[in-house]
Amino acid sequence: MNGAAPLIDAIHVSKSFVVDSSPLRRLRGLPPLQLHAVRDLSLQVARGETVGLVGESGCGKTTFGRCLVRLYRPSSGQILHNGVDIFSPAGERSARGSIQMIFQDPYSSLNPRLTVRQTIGEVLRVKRGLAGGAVATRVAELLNQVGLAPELADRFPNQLSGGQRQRVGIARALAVEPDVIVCDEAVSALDVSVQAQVLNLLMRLQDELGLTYLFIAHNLGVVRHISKRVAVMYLGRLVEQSDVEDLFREPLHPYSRALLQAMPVLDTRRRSLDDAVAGDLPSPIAPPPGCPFHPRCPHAMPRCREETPALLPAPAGRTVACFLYHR
Amino acid sequence: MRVEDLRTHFVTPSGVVRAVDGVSFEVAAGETFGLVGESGCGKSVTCRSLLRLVPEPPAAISGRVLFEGRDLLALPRSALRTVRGRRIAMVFQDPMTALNPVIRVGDQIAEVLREHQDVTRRQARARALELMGLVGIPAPRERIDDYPHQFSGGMRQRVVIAIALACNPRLLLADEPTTALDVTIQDQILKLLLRLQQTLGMSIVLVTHDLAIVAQTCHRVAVMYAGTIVEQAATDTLLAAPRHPYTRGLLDSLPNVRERSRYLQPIPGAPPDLVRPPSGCRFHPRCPLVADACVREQPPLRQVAPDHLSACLYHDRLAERAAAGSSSPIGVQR
Repeated sequence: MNGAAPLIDAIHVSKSFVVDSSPLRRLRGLPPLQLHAVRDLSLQVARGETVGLVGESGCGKTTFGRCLVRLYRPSSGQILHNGVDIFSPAGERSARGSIQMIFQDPYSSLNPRLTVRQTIGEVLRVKRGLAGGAVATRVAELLNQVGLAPELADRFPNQLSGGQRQRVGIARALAVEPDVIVCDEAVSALDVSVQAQVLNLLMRLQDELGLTYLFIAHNLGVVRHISKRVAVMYLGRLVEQSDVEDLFREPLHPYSRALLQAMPVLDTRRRSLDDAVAGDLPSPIAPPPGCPFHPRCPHAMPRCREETPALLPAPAGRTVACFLYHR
Repeated sequence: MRVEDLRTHFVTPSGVVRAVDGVSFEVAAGETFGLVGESGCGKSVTCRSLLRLVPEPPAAISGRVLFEGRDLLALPRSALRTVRGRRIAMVFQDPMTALNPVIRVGDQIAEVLREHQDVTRRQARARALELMGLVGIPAPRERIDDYPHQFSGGMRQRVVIAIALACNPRLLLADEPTTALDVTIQDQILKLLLRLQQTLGMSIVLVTHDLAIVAQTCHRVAVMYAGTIVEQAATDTLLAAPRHPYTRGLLDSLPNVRERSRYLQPIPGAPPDLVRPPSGCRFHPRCPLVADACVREQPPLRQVAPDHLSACLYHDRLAERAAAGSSSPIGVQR
């Protein structure tokens, strides 16, 4: 990021969910049980950039993505889009439409009883105020843009393949004419050959329309291919943020290192019988005190059990939340 | 195990689905054999057909599955039960549905032992504890009376593996055993399977969609497409010098670290409908090397190099490219 104001600026965003507020808990004098899905996350995304957000299930990456498209309201913190708080009244007007999301599952994210034309047309009418012939023209344009044949417009989702459905999901997001798209595991459910087609489409659209992507995924190979920068999350916290090639060359945080080591690679010489990291993912309802990774970390020190390391700058514009790098 | 001309066809209202159509392979003792392909290619059905775990009807299974001198497809059901779980065990993708949610995990492990071996309740429980330790469940004594929902996904898969190993099988069929798991847990489960294989000396058939997992685990691998095996070789040979355009296409579809280009090289089109598969070679509508002969006849899986089989008439062209030192894609448009 070269000094210019970021297009997306998330500042100390936290989001927690109440998972149990039963009368029984209240009778016992206990506060509602909370799950802290995202804790104190700050992340900036520049215009035209692709930032990868990686981590394992339950790390809060999807929750954060959903905050960006205002499906969730953060418990605390601020998200600025073009300098405007997306939850302020002004932001509600302007941001609507300019951050869109593509979902993981192309089977459940489309209404099975609407044709492709109806799915996209609905968005055009409601969000862009189009009517009549203008809708039909724009639907045709959008289908062309995502590489779907015009005759597919009158099909229902169950008559389409997984890759075609994901293209419809992309066309629906584009219908609003967004400048940011949150791709939440957008290619994870697809077979590799189709996955490559959709990745190419996303990159072509970025080249043509100048889109900005937050690319949420667990597949590091895909993230490396599409992203310029990458942020690694663990149990709701950002643990490292880096240029993608720097991260792959030299991961700083022990969790990033473990994640890269655990990723299977297409190289028979890199076989081993040793686990990349021991232990299970802790529950986000009762995360360990201190650094969330300390129970699994090979470098854990007494301090890690007590204090949570802050995300501090490291060389090459990177940031890392680990006491090994605190001086 | 030797599989000869396995065919599993499903009769459906819209026609006969040829899910597995003439699959042959061998698994050597102590070896890990990979079956890899995209969804719907028939890899899971192949795996299940080996133990006749697909409902017949609607399925019709034919061919031969030779194991320890017997044809499993010709055995009466009662005899098959002495093979399943005892000589050949299976691990499924989803550890939640593979376990009974209302039975304690220790009892589920012990049940297999009591079914297949002449052991007392007490002996079975002691062995269950031992197995839980073997598969790396921490504090087995405290966990043996827990229910499946009290375990994480990775720990549940360890329980499923403990059940599979209960009778010291000679062969383990693992159908996408780590697909539902996180990366670090996937790594743990795969390494566990490999370590167990070394200590127990069993063979593993690993069904997966992920070529990188194959690279990390399998000695040999068969690539399936539309119900048939299109290529089979030692893993490093197959990855370094594939001799079938589908395998080449799969490798080119993956983001490549060495040759970074902004755009990937996907395989055009989509896999065919197995009710009406394309004539000739089933890959021909998507193949960059397609010629008239490919449309007319289905090329057989033939030996093209030592321990390397390919079902492509033009496998030489891929070999020439590999020899010329080029690993660049075979000119598929983006």
